[in-house]
Amino acid sequence: MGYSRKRYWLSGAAVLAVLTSWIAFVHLGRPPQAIVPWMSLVVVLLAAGFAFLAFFSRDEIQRQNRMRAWYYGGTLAIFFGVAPIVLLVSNANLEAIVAALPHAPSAALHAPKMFFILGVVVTLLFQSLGNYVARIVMRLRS
Amino acid sequence: MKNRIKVLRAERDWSQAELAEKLNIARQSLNAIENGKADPSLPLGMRIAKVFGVQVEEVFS
Repeated sequence: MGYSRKRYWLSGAAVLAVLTSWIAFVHLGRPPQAIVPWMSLVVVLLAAGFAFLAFFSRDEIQRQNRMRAWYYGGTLAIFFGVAPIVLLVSNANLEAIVAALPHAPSAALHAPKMFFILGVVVTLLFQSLGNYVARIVMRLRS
Repeated sequence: MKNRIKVLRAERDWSQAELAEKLNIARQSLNAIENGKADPSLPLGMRIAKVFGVQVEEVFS
C-alpha cells in the first residue's frame, strides 16, 4: 500500500466518524444492553481497520516519525501522567475520581468495572497527550 | 548519512514536489531525507537512485 495523502485523511476521518456515531448512538439511541458489547467489538474492529489503513497511507518517513512520537509520548505519559497518579493518589480518592466519570451509575461506584474503565481512560488520555506533546516538540526541532 | 539529492535534483531542474511525486512520498519527507534528518530504507534509497538514473552509491555516502 503506497503513500496517499487523500486516503490518509479519509481513513482518519472514518475512524472519528465511526467512534463518534457509536458513542452518540449508545447515549442517545439507547440500544438493547445485550447487543452493546458485541456491537462495540465490531465498532472497535472497524475503527482499528481504518486506523491501520490511515497508518499505511503514510510514507515510510512519516510512519517513522509517528512511531517515534508514539514512543516518546508513551515515555512522557508514564513519567508525568501515569506514574504520579499511581504513586500519589491514594485508594481512598479513587472512588471520588470514579464518581466524577460521566454517566457513572452511583450503584456501580464500587464495581471493579468502573476502576478498570478509569485505568483505561487515564492511560489512553496521557498516552494521547504525550504523543501530541512529542509531535509538537519534534515539529519545533525540525 | 550524507546524500547528493539536492545536487542531482538541481542538475535536472526538479522541484522537491516534483521529485516527491515521482517517488510517491510526501514533500516534507523528501525534505527531511535531503537535509539528513531522516534516513530512507534501502528500497526507497534504490528508488531514489533509479529516478535519477544513477547508482545508489552516487546518491548516498
